[in-house]
Amino acid sequence: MMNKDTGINFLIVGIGALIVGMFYGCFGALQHVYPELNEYFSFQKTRPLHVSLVIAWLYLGAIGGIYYYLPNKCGVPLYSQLLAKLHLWIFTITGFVIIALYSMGIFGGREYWAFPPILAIPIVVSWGMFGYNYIKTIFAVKTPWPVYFWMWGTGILFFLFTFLESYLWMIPYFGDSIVRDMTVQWKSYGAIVGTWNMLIYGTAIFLMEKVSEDSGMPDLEEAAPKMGHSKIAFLLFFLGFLNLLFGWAHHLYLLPSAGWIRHMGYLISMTELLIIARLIWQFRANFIAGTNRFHIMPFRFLMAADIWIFVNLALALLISVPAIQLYTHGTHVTVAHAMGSTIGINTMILLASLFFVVGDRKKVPNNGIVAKGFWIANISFFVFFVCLVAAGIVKGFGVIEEEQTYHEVQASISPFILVFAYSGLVMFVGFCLVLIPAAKTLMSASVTGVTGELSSSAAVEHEAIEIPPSGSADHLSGGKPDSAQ
Amino acid sequence: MTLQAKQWLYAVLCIGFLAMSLSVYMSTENVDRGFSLMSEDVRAGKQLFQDYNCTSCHQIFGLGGYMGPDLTNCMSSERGPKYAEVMLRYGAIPRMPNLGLTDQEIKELLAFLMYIDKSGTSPPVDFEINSIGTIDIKHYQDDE
Repeated sequence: MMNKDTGINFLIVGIGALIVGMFYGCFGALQHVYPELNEYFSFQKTRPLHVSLVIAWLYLGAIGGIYYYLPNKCGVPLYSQLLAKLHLWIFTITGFVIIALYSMGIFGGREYWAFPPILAIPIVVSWGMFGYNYIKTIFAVKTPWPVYFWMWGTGILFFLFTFLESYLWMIPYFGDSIVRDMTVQWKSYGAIVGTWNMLIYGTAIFLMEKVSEDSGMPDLEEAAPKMGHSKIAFLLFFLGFLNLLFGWAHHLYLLPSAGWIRHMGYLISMTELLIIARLIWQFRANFIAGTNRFHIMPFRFLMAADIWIFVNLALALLISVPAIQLYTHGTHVTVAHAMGSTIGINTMILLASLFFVVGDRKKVPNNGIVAKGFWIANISFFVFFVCLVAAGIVKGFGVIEEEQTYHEVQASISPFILVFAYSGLVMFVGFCLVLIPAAKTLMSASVTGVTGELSSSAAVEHEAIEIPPSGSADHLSGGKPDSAQ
Repeated sequence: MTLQAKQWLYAVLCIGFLAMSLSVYMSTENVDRGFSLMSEDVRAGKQLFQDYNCTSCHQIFGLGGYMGPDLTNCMSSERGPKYAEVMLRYGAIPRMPNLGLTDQEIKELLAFLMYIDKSGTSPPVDFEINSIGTIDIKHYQDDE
């Protein structure tokens, strides 16, 4: 069922992408345990289906939030509802074409974007529409902008650059030398991760601000409008930006690329995680001090993200040391790191955002099926994560120290892979318990209030909108006020 | 921090990024070796590697899926090119599907695998761990 609000439609498509993507992820994990499943549907198809769909979820979830929040929560009508709808339709149709091609075994691209390169064109075109719409929308807002406006804009702008960069392999100057080709490929992919982090971390700060506004706690409510203007929030933004631009080099330690490339960047990504963890942790401390807890589900998911940031930070710090990465590169530890980031941090933040939107339509009880799903997903994810780390360590030492063959390694890690696959299945069930009620609510609720409707012709009358000025938010963010803009 | 300071910092970071990107694009360390080994068969094999989405299951320099082995040095391994050819021709059911490749496609994929083999070593076998946690990997036999 289509909703009037494009942001909600993005969220609904995103939920669909996540559920189907997780399904293929589970199937792919089972294919490692029961390889005979490959005869029915080869892993060559399963993996890109899983990867592309879950990456699509990260973008769709973040984009849906931006389209929803600007008109409905920031009071900034979209410059063009038509462009937003076109963006949705082009993205969705392209997505279905990609799924169909993968299912038929038609590829031609690279990891992440395994589809034929021609399909990058509609993605770039629709992203350009998104960028134009976003810029025209926020330029109608008087400065100083909150930090999440900067973060969303940066994520949008740099996705376009890095996505195009990831296609440089088509030019012989890049594609004809494997060292340059792989260096540029992983430079662009590392930065692409930075772009979705920028969109999602921006959403996290936005949520902390808005959840605080409705908290029922006078101190929090008073300070809430200033959270997005605080010094620490901007510090986080610039560190995240630095990470997006320069923090990709740790992918390349073992590639015979130039020495300066191999030793650049990992400290930057570490500091970024530390800052966002501090922000959320401080927010939690203030929130817990209160007695009224509105939006309990967004709060829970933000707290889960916070815990996973610490877990992932520890792992990321370790594997960023080249001497350790020697043993973990190309092993399941790398997968654990990727899963820790995309599920534990990004998805938890996006689910907080999703339930913030759902909360506008229906109260979600804190002991119902969604809450059960939350616990099932997180506990099974912990088991899943530990199994990946254990399998990676065993594989790393087997390959580097004992020079084991592929078959010997497979035999030694098989118990971990078995538990990993089944915990993945349980996690899938847990996430479905969370996602299906949310999707039902979004699909059934009629839209009330501001929907962001603003025709292109009316855009010329789109006057500058003033949002709350910055001020002290020290007790929330732990930072100094950033009011001197 | 004033708005102007933020804008300046943003601009400086963007310029730094563009400069760094150009340096990466123009970096030549071990890059010429790749160009000198490239041929029409290798180029065709590389495209086939993508068309069949081999990365789904196999790794090159540790990057890719884990259903099958890392292929970086499969051609110089104990089993060598003959084993790789048999795998490409018949598959290894159930993990490796029989892709129904033609003789020409097999030749091109083998050429690409040979090219990769000469481009470096993965996983590293000859390396040194330094006291500060960095590593020196000897990728080529002719390295000093």
